[in-house]
Amino acid sequence: MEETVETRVIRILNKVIEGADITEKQSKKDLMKLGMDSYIFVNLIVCIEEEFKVEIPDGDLLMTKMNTVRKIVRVLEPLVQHEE
Amino acid sequence: MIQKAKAVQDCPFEEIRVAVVSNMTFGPYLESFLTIYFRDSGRKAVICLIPYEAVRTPASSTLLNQAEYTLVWLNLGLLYPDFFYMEAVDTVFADLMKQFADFSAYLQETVSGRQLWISFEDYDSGLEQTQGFLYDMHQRTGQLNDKLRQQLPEGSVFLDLPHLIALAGISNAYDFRGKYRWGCVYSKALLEEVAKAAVKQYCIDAGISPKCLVLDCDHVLWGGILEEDGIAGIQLGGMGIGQTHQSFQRYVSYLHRQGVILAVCSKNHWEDVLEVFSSHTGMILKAGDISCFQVNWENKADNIIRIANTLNIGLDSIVFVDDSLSEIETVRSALPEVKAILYEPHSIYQNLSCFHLGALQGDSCQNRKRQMTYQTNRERAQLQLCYDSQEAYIQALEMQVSIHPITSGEYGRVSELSQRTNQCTNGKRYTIAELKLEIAAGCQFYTLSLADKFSDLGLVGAMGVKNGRLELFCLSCRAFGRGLEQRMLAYLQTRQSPEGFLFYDTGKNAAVRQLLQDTLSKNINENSQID
Repeated sequence: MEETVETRVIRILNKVIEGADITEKQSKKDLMKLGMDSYIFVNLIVCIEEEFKVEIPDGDLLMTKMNTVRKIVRVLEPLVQHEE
Repeated sequence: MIQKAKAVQDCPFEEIRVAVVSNMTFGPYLESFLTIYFRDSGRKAVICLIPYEAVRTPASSTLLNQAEYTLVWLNLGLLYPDFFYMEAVDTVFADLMKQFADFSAYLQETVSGRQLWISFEDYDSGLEQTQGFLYDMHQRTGQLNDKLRQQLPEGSVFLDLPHLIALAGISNAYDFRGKYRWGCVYSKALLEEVAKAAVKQYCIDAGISPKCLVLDCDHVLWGGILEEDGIAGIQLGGMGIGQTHQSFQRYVSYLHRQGVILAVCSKNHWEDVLEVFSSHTGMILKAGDISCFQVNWENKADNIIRIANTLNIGLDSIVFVDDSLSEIETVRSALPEVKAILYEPHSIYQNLSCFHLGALQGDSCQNRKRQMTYQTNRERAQLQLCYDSQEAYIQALEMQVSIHPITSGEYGRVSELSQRTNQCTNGKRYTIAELKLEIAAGCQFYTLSLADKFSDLGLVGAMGVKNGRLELFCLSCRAFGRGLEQRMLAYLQTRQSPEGFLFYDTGKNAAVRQLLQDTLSKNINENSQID
C-alpha cells in the first residue's frame, strides 16, 4: 500500500524528534510540546524537502505555521501534487 | 541518512563526546556524517551542537566541559557581513581579533578536551566575478586566519577549509538557499568533507592508524610479471605505466619514512625479487626498507599471518595491497581484520588515506630505530632457536636497559608511544600538550630505552605516576617477551610505590590489567580505578 503524505511526514517526524512516537491520531498535537525546537525544525524541513523532492516556500518556513502534522500536510499537499 | 546515523548509535564501540560550536545551522547532515565517520574509526560519537550565541550559557559550558573533542566552525560572512566588501578593515580586524581572543580564552577555560578549529574562507564573497581572480583577493581572509591561528591554545588543530571546498568543488560547496533561510551556508557535499577531515584529524591525534603496509610486487611495485618478463622486461620508471609504479614507490617510501612498516608478499621466486630490489635502477624502495619478505608460491593469507607473527603486530594493523581481485577477495574472506586494497593507479592514493600519520612526523630518528628493530627481528628469531629457555635467550641478547625520569626531548616520543600501543598498555593516551599539562600538574613520568646486540630499539617504554596512582604504563610490542614489564614496575616501586592504577580497555590489553593487579596488589588495591 502506498504511503500517504501524512504517514510519510509522521515517519520523518519520528526520526528527527528523539524519542517521539507520533501516530495519525496526534495530527493536531503541537510538535513543540513533543520536543521540536528550531534545530529540529531545520532538520525536519531538510528531510521533508529531500523526501518529497520539493522546496517549501520561505513564507511557510515558520514554526508556528508548521507545528502540527496537519499543518505540515496542508503546506505540502499542493507542492506534492504540483511536483507529481 | 538520519536512519543510518541512528543505527550507528547502537554500535558497541568506545564512546566519544563531540561538541560542535558554530554560528551556522547544519540541518541533519554534519551530525550524521560525523556519527558515520567516527563509527568507521571504531568510535560511537555522541554529538552536541552548540550555537555560537549560546556558548556561554551554563548548559553549553557543561557540554563543552564533558566533550573530548570540540569542533569550532565560525562563518565569517555571517559573523561580519561587511568584512569582504569594506575598503579598510583595520578597525574590523581589531574588533574581530578581540572577539576571538575572548572566545578562545573562554573555550580554554571551559573545554577540557582537544579543540579543532576550522579556518575562514571567502570563496562565496562573489568578489572575483567583478575583480578577477587575483591572488591578493584572499589576502584579507588569510591574514585573519594567521592571526586567529596564533591565538589558539597549544595543541589545537586548525583545518584548512578552502582545501576542503576545493575537494567538494566550489560550485558544489555552498547552499545559498539554506544560507538565507536559516544560516546553513554549506552544502551536504561540503559538510561531508568537513566531517571526514575532522574525524581523520581525531584519528591522527589519537594514533588510530594501521602500522604495516604489505605489498604485492607484479603490477604493484612494478609493471609486468617478473617471472615471465624478467628483470629487464618489467616496467619501472621512464614514461607511461612504469612511471605510475615508480611514483607509487615514492609515495610508499614517504609512508615508510613517516613510520609505516613495509612488508612484501608476492608469488614469485625470492632470488628474482631480491635481484630487482638490489639492482634495478628504477627501484625507489630498497631491500633494507622492507621489514619482512614473504616471497613464495604459498597462499597469501598464510603469508600475511607469518608477517604479523614476525613483526609481532595484530592483523588489524595491516593493510594489504594487491592488483589481483581474487587475491584481495581471498584475503578479505580469510582475514577480515586485514584491510585489503585493490591496486588501481587512479584510486590507490585515496585508498591509502586509511593511514593517519600526522602525529608521527616529529621523530624520524625514532622511526629509523623502529624500522631497524623489525628488520633485525629475523636475526633475533635465529638466535632464539639456539637456546632452550627464554632466560638464556634474553641473556644472549645482551640487552642494555636504561630507565630514567622523562626529559623534555622525549615528550613527542612518549606521546606517540602512548597513542600507538594497544597491547602492553593501561590504555591511557596523551597528546604532547596533555603530557605537558600533566607534568605541570605534578605527574612524574619515566621512560625506558633499550638496545641489544642487534640494534638500538630507542625509547620503548613509558610510565607516569600522579598522587600515588599509576597513570601511564606502556611498552612497545617490539620489546615484548623480555621481562621489561616487570623491570619497569620494580623500578617504579623503589621510587613511587603506586597505590592504584588507571586502566582503559583497548580490547587487547587484558594481560596488562592482570599484571598491574598482580604486581600492585601488595599495595592498597581498592584505589584502582578501572575505567
